[in-house]
Amino acid sequence: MPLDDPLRFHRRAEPCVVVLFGANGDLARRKLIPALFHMRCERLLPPGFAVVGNSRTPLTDEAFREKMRAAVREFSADTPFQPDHWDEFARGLFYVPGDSRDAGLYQALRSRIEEVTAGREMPDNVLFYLATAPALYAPIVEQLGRAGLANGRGWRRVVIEKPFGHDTASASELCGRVQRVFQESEIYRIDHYLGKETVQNILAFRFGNGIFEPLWNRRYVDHIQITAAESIGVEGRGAYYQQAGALRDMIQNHLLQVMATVGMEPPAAFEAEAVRDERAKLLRSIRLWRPEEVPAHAVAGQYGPARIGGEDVPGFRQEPGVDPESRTETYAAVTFYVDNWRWAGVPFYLRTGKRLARRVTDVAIQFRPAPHSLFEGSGPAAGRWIQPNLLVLRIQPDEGISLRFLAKRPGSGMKLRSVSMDFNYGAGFGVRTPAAYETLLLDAMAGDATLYIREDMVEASWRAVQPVLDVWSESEFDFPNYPAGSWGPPEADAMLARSGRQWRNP
Amino acid sequence: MTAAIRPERLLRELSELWAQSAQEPGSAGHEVLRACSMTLMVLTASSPDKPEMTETLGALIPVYPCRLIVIEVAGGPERRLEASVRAHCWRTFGSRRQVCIEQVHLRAAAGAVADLPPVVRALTAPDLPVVLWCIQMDLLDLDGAGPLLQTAGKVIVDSHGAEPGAAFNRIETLRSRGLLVADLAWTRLTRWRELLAQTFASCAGAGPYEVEKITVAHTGSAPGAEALYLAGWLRDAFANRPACVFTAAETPGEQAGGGIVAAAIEGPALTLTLSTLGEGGVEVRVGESVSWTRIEPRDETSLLKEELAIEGPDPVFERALREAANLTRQLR
Repeated sequence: MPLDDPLRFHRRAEPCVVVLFGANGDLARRKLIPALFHMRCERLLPPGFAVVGNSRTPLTDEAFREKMRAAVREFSADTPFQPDHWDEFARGLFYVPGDSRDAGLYQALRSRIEEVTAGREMPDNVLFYLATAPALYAPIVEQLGRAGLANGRGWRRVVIEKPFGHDTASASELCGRVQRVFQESEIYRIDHYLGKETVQNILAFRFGNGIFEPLWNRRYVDHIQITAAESIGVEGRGAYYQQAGALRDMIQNHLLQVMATVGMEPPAAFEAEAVRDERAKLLRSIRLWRPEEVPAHAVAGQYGPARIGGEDVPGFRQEPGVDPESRTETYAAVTFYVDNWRWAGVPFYLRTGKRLARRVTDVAIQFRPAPHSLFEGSGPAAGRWIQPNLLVLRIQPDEGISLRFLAKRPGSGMKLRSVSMDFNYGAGFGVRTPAAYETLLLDAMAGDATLYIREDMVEASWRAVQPVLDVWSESEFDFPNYPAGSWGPPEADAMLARSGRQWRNP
Repeated sequence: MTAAIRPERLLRELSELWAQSAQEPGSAGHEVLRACSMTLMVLTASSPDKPEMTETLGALIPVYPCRLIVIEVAGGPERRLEASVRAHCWRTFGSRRQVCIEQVHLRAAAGAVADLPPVVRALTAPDLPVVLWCIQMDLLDLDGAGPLLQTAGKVIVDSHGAEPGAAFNRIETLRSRGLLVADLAWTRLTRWRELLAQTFASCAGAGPYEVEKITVAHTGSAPGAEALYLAGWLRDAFANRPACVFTAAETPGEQAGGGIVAAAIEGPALTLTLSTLGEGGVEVRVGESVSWTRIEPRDETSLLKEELAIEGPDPVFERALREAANLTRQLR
């Protein structure tokens, strides 16, 4: 367009209506509506933009707006509430109550969408967002297809939240059912980790700088640790979590996507298909464990009760809604190998858990030691103060990057010590970081699928964890095997110790 | 007060500041993080301690942590220089850690400006961009200002309220010396331009675009820099270089676009008009269809943030400047 100025103008969403299934649910209230409101405040939403919410709860438009107003005030702690912006945003919120399994709902939705697009002078673009229970994804999509809502004069897109299935077979079935209604290019499978600024920054760090990529391979990297630790327990999600477990809840999706981002080859261009092709290739290159190999490469854990800071903390089996005999893992650590030229022989250690020592998500790239030790106290036999180079990409909290290297200790002689060079995101940029959902919603409305998961990525990541799931489903664990507030079960330490390595304490 | 400034002594004082802050009681576990992503020089004829300046810089430095060098030009032809250093610290949201930047305050009589470039060169943070914000445009004409400006990679000025022809000439002169130049009068138009661009994109369809006339209504008896920039930008955007008309108009209130009251694009297939309604309100008229939106007035901090985010050339601005200068000559 002749008046474009990409250097200064914000990228904005295309004019559209977002039809939000599960509009009265936790995700909508905590994340989606606050994200859309922030986008409104940042002028990222197009004129006329509207949300048509749906859930079973009978509500009027006005009551829905009031509920969402309360949600924005409660869940937008990082920015002050702006009443002027809210009034304008709220005029674009509408609500259609009804059961998503009822065909009548879709006729009501069709009428409402037509009414809203005509009344707000909008083109016929519709983004369907499924923020519902996973069991409803396929039925809703099929109802959209039957009602003719999956096609129109403008574009149609559907956003699906994780989990995409609960194993390889169910993921494949879900993909098939959704693809019978929408084309793959219209399907946006969301993994909010990919929308995090710090995860996106991994790409900037790797491919925007010239000095790191030459080191990013088996020749220089000893191993990689990816940690997503939570200090809290299941916090009211006991019933859901009991069905999922740590491996399905975190590793199959979030951590494997982070691993793919860390390990992928440089794409030819920063375009959706080019980036997703490389992520998918990395995921497909993950070595699949034979059942007998699983115990040596994967560790399950479940937290038991403990006393932390003078407070008694329940174990998983004592949490509300959890079976007192539950065999679900709240901790999972898996060793993956990527069978390609870049990473052959380099282990990727992924771990996640509830009720660990602290909340932290990071990626640590442990480099090999210098090939020859010149200095006193350095080299492989040195103590814990003398460590090989370590690059840590901190995803949350305290977002940033640090590089550990050796420096000479002041004084006579040549004694070395590890020091850290630190970049802190907050101090370096000092601006409010957009929430992952803001980034991803804007991308979906703009038709940019770079940060969304493609079908082949879903299937490859399920295939990578399926052998572990299969073995664990047949295993008897001596749970609980780690106390709340620790860094996980001793078996996880042993898994690394067998190769002479150890977990970091991030 | 000293007659001369020794940069190495200032740098030593800066180092001592950090050593001192690390030793202050209660600093254990509340580390001070020294942050620096550029050198920002501020050339001003007024004190940096004036509330409006403190407020602007206070809001700017957490977003662009920098080594701040404030050059206050005060006094006549004597060759007098003074210098002092201090730290600015703040706490990031939810963190116990303090982030600090360092400020050097150079106070120079007009006659001593020529002595500043070597001092400034020694004080800039190594290997990082250097930006100079010249608050009063007439400081560009001081003896010795040229070499001082050359210590920066980018110079930010504000031609708002200045005689546009002279302001554009000054900017062209700076550009001819290889400097990147930004004008906050142009930055002030971003929201206007964005709204015009979005409205045009949503109603004009695919090209080719035929525009016959551009009208810019402005406050005051003659168009200021903002009005000329806006017309220049629009004129440059269309291959047939449409005619530009400027009209003086009454302002309905505070203007977001630095004196722009309305802007219209007219062609055989499209008439698009944006008109201010006061208090940030803007009427958007496309043919017979009317809608309303808001363009909030922007403070200096917001304008500077936008400019500091642009480190390289700005081709859209450069073309608009060229057209604005042409229009100024035509209006004479």
